[in-house]
Formats: sequence, C-alpha cells, structure tokens
Amino acid sequence: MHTTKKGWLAFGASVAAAAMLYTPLVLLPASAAQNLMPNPGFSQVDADGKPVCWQDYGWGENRSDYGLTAEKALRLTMSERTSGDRKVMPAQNTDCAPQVAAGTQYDLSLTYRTSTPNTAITLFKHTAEKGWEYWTDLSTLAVTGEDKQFRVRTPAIPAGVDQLSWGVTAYGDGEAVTRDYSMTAVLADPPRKRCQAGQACPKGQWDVLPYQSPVRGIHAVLLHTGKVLLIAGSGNDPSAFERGSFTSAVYDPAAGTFTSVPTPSDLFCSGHTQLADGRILVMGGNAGYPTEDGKANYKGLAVSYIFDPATNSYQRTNDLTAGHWYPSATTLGNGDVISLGGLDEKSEGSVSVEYFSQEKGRWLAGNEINQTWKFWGLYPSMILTAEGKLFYTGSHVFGNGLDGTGSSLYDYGSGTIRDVEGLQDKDNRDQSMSVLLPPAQDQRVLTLGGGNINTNVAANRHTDIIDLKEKNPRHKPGPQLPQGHMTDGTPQGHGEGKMYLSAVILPDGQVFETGGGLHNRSDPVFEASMFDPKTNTFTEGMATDPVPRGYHSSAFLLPDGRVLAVGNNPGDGSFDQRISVYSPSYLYKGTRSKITSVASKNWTYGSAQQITVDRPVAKAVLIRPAAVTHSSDPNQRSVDLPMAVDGDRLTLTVTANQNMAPPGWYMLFAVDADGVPSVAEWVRVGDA
Amino acid sequence: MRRHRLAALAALALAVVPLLLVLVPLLPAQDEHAEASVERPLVTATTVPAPPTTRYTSPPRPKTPVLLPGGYDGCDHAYGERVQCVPWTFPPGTANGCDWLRQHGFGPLTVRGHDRHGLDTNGDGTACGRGDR
Ligand SMILES: [Cu+2]
Repeated sequence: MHTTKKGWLAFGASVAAAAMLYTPLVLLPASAAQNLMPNPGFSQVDADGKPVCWQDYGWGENRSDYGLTAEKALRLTMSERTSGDRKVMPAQNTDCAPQVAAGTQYDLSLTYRTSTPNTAITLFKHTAEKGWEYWTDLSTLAVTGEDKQFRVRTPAIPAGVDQLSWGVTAYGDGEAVTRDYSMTAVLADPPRKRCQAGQACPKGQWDVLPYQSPVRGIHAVLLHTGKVLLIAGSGNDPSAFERGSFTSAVYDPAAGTFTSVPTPSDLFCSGHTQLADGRILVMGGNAGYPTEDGKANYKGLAVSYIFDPATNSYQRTNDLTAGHWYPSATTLGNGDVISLGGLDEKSEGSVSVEYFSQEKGRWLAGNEINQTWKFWGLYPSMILTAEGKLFYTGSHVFGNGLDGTGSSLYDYGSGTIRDVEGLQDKDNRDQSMSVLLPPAQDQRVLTLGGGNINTNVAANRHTDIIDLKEKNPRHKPGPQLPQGHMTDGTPQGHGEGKMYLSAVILPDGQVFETGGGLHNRSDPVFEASMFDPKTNTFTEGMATDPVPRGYHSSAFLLPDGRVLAVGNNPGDGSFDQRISVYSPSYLYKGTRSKITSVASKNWTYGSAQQITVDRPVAKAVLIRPAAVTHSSDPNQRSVDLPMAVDGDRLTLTVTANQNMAPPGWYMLFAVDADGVPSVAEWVRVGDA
Repeated sequence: MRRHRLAALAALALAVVPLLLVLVPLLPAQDEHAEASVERPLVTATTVPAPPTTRYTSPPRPKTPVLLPGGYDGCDHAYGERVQCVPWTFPPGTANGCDWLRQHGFGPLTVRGHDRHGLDTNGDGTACGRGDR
C-alpha cells in the first residue's frame, strides 16, 4: 500500500509510468480502490442515448451539446461561444453524485482527448446547509489528438461537504472526448488493525467520535466536573459576529452530550484560566474583525466573565483596564491571575498588565497594578515558576517573537523583566507549544516547534529545554521534533517540523505531542510522539489523529487518562468540528489500579493526605485540568506527591510551595510500576 | 469476614514491599525533585503574599502606541469571503498563487481591496477565476 502511494505521487511527473501503476492497485482492499463514479463506463444509457446518472450544466451564449460516441466515450462539443461554459458530470442529486467524507482527499482520473485548451476539471460540492455549489477548478487539459490519461488529487474535502460531483468543463470552441472516469479515496494510512483491550498497543489508538461538536472548539477548558467547556464566541466567522451569534457548550465526554451555554460577548480568542474554586475566569475577546481594505485589524474586548460549572453560565465581572484579543492568563500561587498581551480596543498592541485579585473578586484598577507597559505579543506563554515569577517561554502567536532574546523572566512584584538566553530561532516560534515538564518540581520547560504565519516559512523541528532551577537559566537545544507525513502520505521534507501542535502531560510522566501543520493555516502534518523528560528523548511513531489538527485546534488530558482533540480552522474558512480521542498505550496493559478512597477532597499546602488504592502503585501525581487554546496552556502542570506506603494506604505529601501547585482543582492519578494510571479523582488544593 | 480482609491486606503488603524495594531506587526523585532539592530559600516558602494592597507608582504609560502591520493575522482579507484566509505571504517556493489556492480548497475569489498578489490577471474583479492564469 505504501509503495503504491509513493508510486501515485511519482505519477504526476510521468504520464507514461501511469499504466504500470494500476497493477499494484489490484492488491488493495476493494474499499480502497473502489471507483466512486456512477455508471463510469457509460454502459447504462437512457432513452435519449445519454448516459444514466450524468448530466450537463452550463451557462452563457454558446452552442454546445454532449452525447456518447460509438466507443461509449463522452463527447462534449462547443461552438460559437461568446460567453459561458458547458460541463458534464454526475447528476447533482443524492443518488448519482459520489458521497465523500470531510477531510479525505480523492484521486480523480479519466482518459481524454481535446481540440481546445479551454477545458478544465471542475468540482462541485454539496453541503446540507447550502446545497450544491461550485467548488473549484483543479486543472486544465492540454490539447491532444491522442487519448491521454489525466489524474489529479483533490484537496481535503472541507468540513460539512457530503457529496462531490466533477467532470470536464469546456469554455472554448472545440471538442473534448472523455472516458474511464474514476474517483477513489486516498487512504493516508493503510487500514490498521484496531488495538484490542488486554493486547499490547505500543502506539496507542485514536478514535474519531461518531458525533461532532455543535460549537467550534477554539477554546477548551476541562471542568472539575469532568465536563469540558468549549468556547467559540463568533468562532472566527465574521457573519456570526455581525449577527451577534456567540456560542459555547459544555461537553460531557462520558455521556457524549452537549449543553449549550448562553454566551454574552464574543469570547473568540479570549484568555482563560482555572480559579481556585474551580470556576473559570475568561477575559478579553474579539471586538471587531479586520476590514477588507486591510486598514483595520482585529480589536480586543475589555470584558471579563466567570464561568460557573455549577450553573453552566457566565457571570460578568468588572472590566479589564484595556481591551485584549489573544491575552495570556496565568493563575498565581495565591490564586490571583495575571493576564498580558493581545490587541487592544484600537487594534494596537495591548500593553496593560491585568491583575485579578482572588480576595477582592475583581480585576484591579489601573492604579492598583504594577504596570510595566510592555507589549508581550499575542498569547504569550507565561509559566509560573517556583519562585512566583512568570517565565515567558518564547511561545506566542502571530509572526515574530519579541525583541531581545525572545524569552524572559518577569517579576510582577518588582516590575522587572530579564531576558533569558538560548531560545533557538525566536522569530519562528509562532504557535509553538511550551510545557512545564513533569514533575513540576523539576522546573524544566520544553518548547516545541513553531513557524511564522507572516513569512510563511515551513514550521521547524526545534525543541528547547530550560532548567529554571539553575542560577542563570538558559534554553538548551533539545532533540529535533520527529517528522511525519502530509495529507497525501508524502513524508515531510528536510528540516520540516510543525506549528499549531499540542503537548499534553500524561499521568505516567510522559508528554504526548500531537497534531500541527507546516504552513499558515495549511498543510496539516500527521505525526505524534512521546517525549520522556527523564531521558530528553522522543519515542517516534505514535498513532496519529486521523483528523487534521492545525490552527484553532487543541488537545488535552481527560480524567480517564485519554487525550481529547478538537478544532481545525484552515485558510479556506472551514472548521472541523469532529472530536477525536487518543488512548495511550497504558490503557492496553491490563487492569488499571483504582483509587478506592480519598480521605479529604480539600488539600492544604504541606499537608499529608490519605488515600487507598486497590493494588500496588508506584507514584501519585496531581495534574491541573486544561484551559487551552492556540497551543497555549501555560498553567498545565503535573505535581509529584511524595508518598509513604502502608499496604493499600498511601500517605501523600502535598507540596508546601503554592507556586508549585497554584490553588484549584486537580486530577489525582495513582500510577503503577508499568506506568498504568488509575482514573483520576478530583481534589481541591488550596487554603483550608 | 474481618480475618479475610486482614489476610488480603497482608498479601497486598507482601506484594508491595518487594515492589517498593525495587522502586525506591528508581523513584528517589520524589524528594530530590521536591522543594528540598532546590537550595534557594525562596522556594521553601509555604505561602505566597496576599494580593497587593498598596498602590503602585507605575512609570507613565508610553505615548507611542504599539502599531501592528497589515496582514498581522497572516491573511490578506482583500480576497474572497471574510472567513477565508488567503495567505499574506505564500509559502516560499510557491510558483503560482492560484494553483496553490486551488490545491488548498479555494475557488475563485472576489477581489475586495488591493490585489497585492496579482491574482486577478484579467482584471475582472475575480482572482483565480477562469481567465486568470
Ligand atoms: Cu485565533
């Protein structure tokens, strides 16, 4: 199968090689090579001598006709053309036009000869929402008097498209004769045997859920109820913005249900973080889309809301001191929140530090905040250090990194910002991802990949590792990001890596790296790996999400130890609302340990906590639930719990340093010696 | 009943102890990772100061605004529907913008502003239309 795919790619370069390439096709499973075209040999003919299930479409002033030749080829003729075109393709109805799957590519081929250069391969698409509409022309056909084969591969079918019709269009005087129409689905991966429970599954397994998210999953927040808040706002759709149609939904992964949440403002590209009590602080958002003349950019909102999982509703807080579109949000050791960066209400860089006081239950006013007036860029990745500083990792969104070294340590209290050296290629770390490696106590940060949407260079393979415990911490180059393949199966080229990727801390202490793409909102890359913080190495070749996950995608850990992935918003303006779930290999290693009791749900700093388990475990960790968007979740962390074992009773010591585990709800996992985690129990870390 | 449970516990303990003996050397990180290993005093603080109640005397806000260039989001919104994102810059090596766009799912695009990329070669107001090559 793989050889065949490579063969197909090589085909484009050489028409002569094509015939040979049909041979291995025979070896494919029937489903892979199935010709989706209706009546492809034109063997069925209606009373008028026209092929059944085929129809002509066209417009303008011209004389045109179509019909079958004696050899059962389709002849399309045009003369006296002053305008318009004529095309013949499968009839645009439910029975005749081929069914297609969103995200899949198709190989189209036919045999042709034409006397006019004014021919094109034209594609129409069908959606439930808009019916049939013109999609695109993929290619023209060169004039030839001899039969030639032509083959072209479609782009990935956009989300929402369920049928495709295509054929040859003539828009100039002449004659085109075509036959042997074929349309087959491109299978990026050979069909793999599904992993079975109890059998080893070293790469893990993805499942695309049978239902889709009703909202565009641009922001995802795991609630301490185990449900997921998905926020779209206007969802990067200016018409929704103009209608004032803003959406969010609470998704229950266990039940597969969604509860829609009235969304009072356009929270598209807002910031968000978990508060100490499990409510979600959301700040900023979109006050306006850019104009067509390019003069106006996005504008930031100054509003803020607290989402309450108990009532599934947003409650407005006081406003920020300025607008912020794409702000960061980091919860501090005392439960307060600092938010930085983004675009303000005038589309300028927002330079205001925003500070939410947990005690006061509001955002501080301008004169209560220690302002530094620095522009931090968009979604700057600001990770809380053990000392209570904010570490700007260099991960950000949109274009170049910040001036200087592109990474820094920011001390809010003193208002000082000190550059941190060593980040590679800081202007090409747009939509890279940074993660505080597990355990948080080690204070090491990994930064992965990135690109630059403005120069549109190919995303890179850089990784950087920094140890914040060092006296003068600096980034050091880590192993190169592993490479995968593109949608059509082509392996990535030299130096090509990923932006828009996700890094997810797993309870076994590994970091799962998944999704991403090569260029600005295009060219998804299928690659996934495990990073081991103990050895600083990647294990390549994990199973890849079948759904492309580029711009506006996220992946995050569920309390059952699986990883959920949502979103994808390519440049054609579509949005993929499919949800996929990854089951890591640890879920195929037999019976999982179970936390049978947790003496207290409220864990204070420095305390000893009693839990019981049903079998021996090797460690216990607290993982902070996700609040992720745009490859950015600076609050993500896994905190080790030193433990004493007495039979099935474990005594776990909670860190005494609030900065190590900022107050809030955490997932408590017990993990056995094989790295198999329990299902998490939820505990709240904070003051009594 | 109770004896049964004790027996089970004993068995579990027997199972755990050798396991721990094996694991302990593998897991010493627990303590060393933890705050104790960080020799700087700041890290051992058990509490983080309450939110500031004092008013800060911040420096004055700079007068020059941070201005951002057009196409900041990587899209040239002069083309197509407003949801679409024609790249502000095509990937290096792109020979023909229209070919790239067709291969990435774009159809013909209405030109709504300045045709920066020169994609509407016949000037009919539609970029990458049938007359544009
Ligand atoms: Cu965005």
